[in-house]
Amino acid sequence: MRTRDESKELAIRQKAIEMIVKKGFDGLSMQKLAKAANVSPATIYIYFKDRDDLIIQLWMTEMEKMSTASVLGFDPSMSFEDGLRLQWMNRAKYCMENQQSMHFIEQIRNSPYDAVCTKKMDKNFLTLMRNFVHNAIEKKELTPLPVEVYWSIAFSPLYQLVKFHMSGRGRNGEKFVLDEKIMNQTLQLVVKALKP
Amino acid sequence: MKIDNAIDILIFKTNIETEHDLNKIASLLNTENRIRKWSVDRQDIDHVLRIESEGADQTKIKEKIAYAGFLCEDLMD
Repeated sequence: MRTRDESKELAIRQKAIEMIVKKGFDGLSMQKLAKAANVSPATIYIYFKDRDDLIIQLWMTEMEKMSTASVLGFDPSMSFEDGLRLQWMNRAKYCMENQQSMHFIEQIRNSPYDAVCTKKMDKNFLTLMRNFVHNAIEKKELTPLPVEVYWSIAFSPLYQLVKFHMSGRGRNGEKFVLDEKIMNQTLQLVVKALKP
Repeated sequence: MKIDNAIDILIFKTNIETEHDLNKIASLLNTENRIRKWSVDRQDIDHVLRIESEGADQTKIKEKIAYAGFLCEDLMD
C-alpha cells in the first residue's frame, strides 16, 4: 500500500506547472513528469487519476491562491471605486510576483480545459464578487450590466496593463513599467465608464 | 481529490484499451464492494488502472482481471 507524502505531491505539482508553461500540455506525460519530479509514475497516480485530473487540480490550486490574494483586505461593502482599486492592486501584485502561475492560468484559459475549469470556480469567491457588484449597483455607483460587459470593462484593462508590464514593452515596443500613476489613471476612466 | 487514511490506492499496469475492455473491467470491479472508485488512464503508456479501495485484496483483484484476459501487473515503484 502506498501512503501520501506531502513533499512528493508538492514536487509533482511544481514540476508539472513548470513543464506545462515551458512545453504546453502536450509536453506533459506522466512518465516525463515522474522523471522531472524524481518520483515513480506510480506515485503520481496516488494523487491524480490521470493527466487531465492533474491539470484540473493544478488549476484549482492556482486559482485559489490568486482569489485569496485578490480579496486581501477586501469587503463587499466598500465603495465601488475603493473596492475596485483594492482588487486591482492585489491582482497586479499577485500577477507580477507569480508569473509562472499566471502563464499557466492563461494557458488553461486558451485550451479545451477552460470549459471544465470554469465550472469549478470557487463559489465563495464568486459570491463575494457578486455581493460587491450588487452593493455598488444599489448605491448607484455602478450601472447594471451583463456580467461579461462588466468584467471586460472592470478588469480587462488591468490585465492588459499587467501583460505590458511583464513583457517590459508597451504598444510601440518602447519600455513600459506599470506604476501606481498609470494604474490610477486607468482606474479613474474605468470607474467613470461604469457609473450610471 | 482528498483521500482519507482509510482508503488505499491500488495501481496496476494493464493493457486495457478499448471501450469494450472498459465494459468488461466494469462488470468485474463494480461488483466488488470494497472498491469505491476506479479509473483507467488509457492515454498513458502503461494504461494505468487506479483503484480507490477500502482494504480490497490486491492479489485477488489482479487475478480476477488476469482471468478475464488482461495484463495486470503491479506498477513498479
